[in-house]
Amino acid sequence: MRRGKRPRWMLKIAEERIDILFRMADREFSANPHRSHRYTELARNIAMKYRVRIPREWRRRFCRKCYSFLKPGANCTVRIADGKVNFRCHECGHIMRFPYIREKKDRRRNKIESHTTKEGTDEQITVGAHNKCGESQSDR
Amino acid sequence: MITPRNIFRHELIGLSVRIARSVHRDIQGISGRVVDETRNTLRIEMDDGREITVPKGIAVFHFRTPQGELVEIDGRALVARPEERIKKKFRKP
Repeated sequence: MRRGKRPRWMLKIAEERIDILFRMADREFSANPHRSHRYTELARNIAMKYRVRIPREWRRRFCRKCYSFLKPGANCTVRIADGKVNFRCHECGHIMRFPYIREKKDRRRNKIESHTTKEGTDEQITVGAHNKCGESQSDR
Repeated sequence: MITPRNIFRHELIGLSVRIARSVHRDIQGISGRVVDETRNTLRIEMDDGREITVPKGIAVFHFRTPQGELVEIDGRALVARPEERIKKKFRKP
């Protein structure tokens, strides 16, 4: 085992606890926001102690600077600008920027791939037609 | 999954709890929901909406898991920081 690495079952409990805490934070936010900020802090402590990544669905739900829980529409605004998603925390005014260049690239790649596969299928059809119809297709 | 076997390592916040026995008589029999945890205390929101801070070390707690099982735990097994409890070794007192 690597130095400082925890056994698998501990990491599993840590992951479960992080998920429970964030869900509690989400539920408590409307009634007691200070509790949800506290739960975020506890979840982050667990994540740091056991070097577990905070799941993707919760990573954008707390402020990177003041670590308060964020609920879009209540204490945070989400805007898209310059190829980034901007989360503005209303507790401290910090702006978190998440670029979505990877998704953009994927979309571009899919576009190109869909073109090429379409041409490929076209070719296959012509090849099949060529086999059937003889030389009339290949002359073109 | 919170089971009776790993409950003292798992998240206590959100569970419903009853104080079964305590050195301090006034807090004995209190029931409610855990809303916060520190190294030495649990903060319990009682059924009438009041919050009370209870030291872990002096009481025996009855927790109810989300599956509905009742678990009795000596508070002395819980005395540790919330994030440290996962790796805490449990000794029968």
